[in-house]
Amino acid sequence: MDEPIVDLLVGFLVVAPVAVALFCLFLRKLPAIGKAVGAVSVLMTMFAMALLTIVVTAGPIVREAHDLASITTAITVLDLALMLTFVYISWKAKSALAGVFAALQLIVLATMEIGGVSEHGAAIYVDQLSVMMAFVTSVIGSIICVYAVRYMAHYEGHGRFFAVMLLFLGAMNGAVFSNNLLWLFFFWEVTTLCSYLLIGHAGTMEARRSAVTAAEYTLGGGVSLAVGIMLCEHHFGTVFLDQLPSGAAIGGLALLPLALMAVAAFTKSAQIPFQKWLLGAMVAPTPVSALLHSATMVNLGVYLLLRLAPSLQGSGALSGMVALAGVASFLITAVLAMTQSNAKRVLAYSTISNLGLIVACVGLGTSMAMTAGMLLLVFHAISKALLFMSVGAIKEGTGSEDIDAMEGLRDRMPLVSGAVLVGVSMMVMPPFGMFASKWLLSEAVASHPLMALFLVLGFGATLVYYAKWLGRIFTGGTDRDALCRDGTPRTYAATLMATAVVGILATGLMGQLLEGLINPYVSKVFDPVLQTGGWGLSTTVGLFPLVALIVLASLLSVAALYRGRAPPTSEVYTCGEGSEVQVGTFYYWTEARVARLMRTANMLMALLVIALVFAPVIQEVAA
Amino acid sequence: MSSMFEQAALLALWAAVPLLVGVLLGLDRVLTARLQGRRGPSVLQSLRDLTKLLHKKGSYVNRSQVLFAYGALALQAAAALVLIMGSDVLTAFLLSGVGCFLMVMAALSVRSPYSHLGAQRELVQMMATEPVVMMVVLSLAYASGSFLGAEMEGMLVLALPLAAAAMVPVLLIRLEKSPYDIATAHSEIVSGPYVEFSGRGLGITKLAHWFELGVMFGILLLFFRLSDPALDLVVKGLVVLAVVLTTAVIDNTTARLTRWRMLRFSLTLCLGAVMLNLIVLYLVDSGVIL
Amino acid sequence: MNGRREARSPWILHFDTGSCNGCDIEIWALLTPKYDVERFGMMNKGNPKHADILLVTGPVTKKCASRLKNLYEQMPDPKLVVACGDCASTGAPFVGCYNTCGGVDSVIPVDVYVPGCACRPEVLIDGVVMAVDKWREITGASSEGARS
Repeated sequence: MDEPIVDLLVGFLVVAPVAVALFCLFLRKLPAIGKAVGAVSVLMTMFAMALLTIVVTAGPIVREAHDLASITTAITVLDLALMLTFVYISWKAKSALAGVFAALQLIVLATMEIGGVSEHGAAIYVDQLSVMMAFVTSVIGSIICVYAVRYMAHYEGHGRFFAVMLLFLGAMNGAVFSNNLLWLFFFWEVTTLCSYLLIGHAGTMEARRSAVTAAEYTLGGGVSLAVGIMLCEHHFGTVFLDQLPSGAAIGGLALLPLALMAVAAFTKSAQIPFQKWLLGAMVAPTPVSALLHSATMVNLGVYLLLRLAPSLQGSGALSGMVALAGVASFLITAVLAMTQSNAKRVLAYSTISNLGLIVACVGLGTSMAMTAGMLLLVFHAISKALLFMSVGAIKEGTGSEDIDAMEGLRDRMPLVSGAVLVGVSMMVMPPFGMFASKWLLSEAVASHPLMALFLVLGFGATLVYYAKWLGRIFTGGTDRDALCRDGTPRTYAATLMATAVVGILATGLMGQLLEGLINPYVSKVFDPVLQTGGWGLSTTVGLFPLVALIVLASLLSVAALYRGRAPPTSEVYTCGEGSEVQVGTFYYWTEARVARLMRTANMLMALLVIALVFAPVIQEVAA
Repeated sequence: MSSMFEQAALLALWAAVPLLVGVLLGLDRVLTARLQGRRGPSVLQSLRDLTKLLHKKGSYVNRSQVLFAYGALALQAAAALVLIMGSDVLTAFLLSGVGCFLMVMAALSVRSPYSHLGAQRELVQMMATEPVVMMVVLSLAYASGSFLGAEMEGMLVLALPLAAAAMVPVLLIRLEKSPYDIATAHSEIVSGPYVEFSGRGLGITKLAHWFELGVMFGILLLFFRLSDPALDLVVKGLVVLAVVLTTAVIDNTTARLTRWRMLRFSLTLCLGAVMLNLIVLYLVDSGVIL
Repeated sequence: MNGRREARSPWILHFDTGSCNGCDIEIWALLTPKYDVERFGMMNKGNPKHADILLVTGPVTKKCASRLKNLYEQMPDPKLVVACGDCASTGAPFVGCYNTCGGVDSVIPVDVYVPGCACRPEVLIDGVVMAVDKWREITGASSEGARS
């Protein structure tokens, strides 16, 4: 493949969204913005596919840093400007904490620039993991942007909103293509800025407060990342991700940069005790939630962990604690999700929960776990986008996000209910990817009793909260009550279907996904054990009959569409009373008890994070 | 040729699962009757009930209810097939778990108070038993080094006595010796998620439940495997009989608990027993003890 | 031969339409070890959707009539009704009373009338067996009709 074309592809995925973002600022009118967003979405999807093909067939794309010195300079300048912007924002928002974090980042960066950093390495390194992330961001992110064109009709400030949304996509792509940690840091902080602007977009008091909270948490994570990078330079003499030493070779204080970067990843992925910002972010318009939870933002944290996995491998206590933090977040938030009545909050907890699983996969550090983590990342992004967009459509149709108000939605909004059914199926049902990764992860933890305990309890809770939500939507009377016509706007119908199709295709092509993208990355550290073959996927100890399950699911779907001669309908049983029935649902715990659990969990997990940071120090002192 | 024959035999066994489970349930009814000083029905009575239901047209409330019920049956049957073919036990268990999920969905798809009550109670029941059984499956795999049922060799019960014992309360719960908390609506409550099904629909849900029981018994039987096929069959038969007898005796001689007591019991004692067993095995393997 | 399999598993719904509880107690007695109707596969189901045979006691008070009708309609076909005791069969001492309908057959069709005040368990078993015979006839006839 010609180098210029490859450069164009990589550059396009970062620069094009940013360019269209600037363009949107001038367009202001929604129809015009809609056209621009639509065009860039189609292009990004195509380019991401092209890049995917190139990387799968021709291997990773590498661009040396010394060829890109001008870009490094530009990024340094922009980085400083960004830090100053954060200082300004914190001053305006009167948040001392955010200000301190921004100033700290500025100081750390300036120290590094003055001290000089190594420049011998690949600045851009687009391997299978990067391209997988870029694909998720570009495709799912684009669909969400198109969806937002319809959704944002009721809001103000379209130009700014879409500019930030697209900038977000560009920054995500930039972050996953960067091999230089300083570049990664820059893009990381751009996503922080974008999330701050998007969460505060509505301009209400609550929105602004949530935006500042988000900025405080993620800027804190940014400080952790910046210090981590500085220590990387100090201990390993490099800021290039691919040059970080493997875990077996490092110990003691040299583990500190890894611990700090892991903490940064926790904040970005909203792991307990850093989950507050993501829950507060629920005040933002739904497309923002969809973007934060699926295509961007939270993925960046677990992406960084997956990148660091080779170095974390063999680091003993450190990776053990990362795994523990992951499974604990998974279990606690899965239980909390059972007690929530707001659909967006349930989804938010489920996001934290699933990301906790990915964190746990990295911490476990086995071949199967890594594979499961990468599968989870892809399929979680797709299904979560679908679910959030469905909730947005429901909100617009019924004016509520409350699960109780969604009772009988099957009859009123069949299409959106179908989308929720598909989304939830992707989360819990075979043959979809989440089910497969759940299987794989469970086989990976068989030799870790404690982790297994957290997982088995969490999986039970996951089934419960999805059953409760989906059950509300599908609670209906006899078929006579159902509406014949569906009033879902066409943009929603199209984007929901597109996401569902992406999910179904990804499931159908799971074998190819595994061979082309996941196993090559896993093979950097481990021997990949999950192979396609026979009836589906197989490891050395287990077998997942993917093909058979796909056939089964297709048969069931066909049966669902088939309208045969139906037996007679009857009314529900009410002991002979004929009155109208009200049904409620069950939230297990009182709010006070949930709050108590939350406080305890926050405290314990904060202790765990502190222990995570101090572990290298203790190890050093002990040695 | 012999492998072809073997596969056909296993398929036949899979097709016979409803018959076997039906006879077991009939046996359970006879035992219960005898314990209560009655003569009781024929051993085949449960099968007769199912035949009757499947021949009755019945009625339904809405389509989603029927579809979810068929989905539940398909998944439970698939789970049983995976288990019987000696394939991945964890896959079988997870499929069966999703089958239960679909059964809950079928119950929730009807705006009916008893159906919803049954579904919520089923969810609590799932939370009580799923973690225990999954832990049991993981411990089986840990002890035998493989998740493939065909490769789980030997009497694993010797290494995992507590895990095998933890399956008894689970089966007690799964056999719907349901604890009840609302005495005034007992007969409505015990129908659980099946309240709004009738005729063939009810038969389908029953069949799904029987396949699910088949999976549970199948997982229990993985603890017992002998190399001599005749002896193997005898031991397995005795184990199943012993479990049915035990559950019938426990059901008829003890007070029934509320769902919350059940959840607490299951998640502390049963899960604790499996964990203890697994941790001891883990420590033995890593040379810390013995 | 037709309908034999169905008739070996009659599931019962019991509904009290304002009886003095005399007949009800006799119906519950069927479940006790002495009569043990589970021998014949009979089971008491608290749900019309699961039931094949409806056992009704009492003269059907006016308040109960709509509920009785509702329960009857929710039973899947083929279904049979047994009026248990004199009140249920004819209205007995309540005939012409301002608040009763006077017998089950004034609200829903009845297949078997079981006499007695209160009706004896043995007669009840007899009544159910008659209902089962009638059920056999219905299913036999319908499947023959389907064949021809």
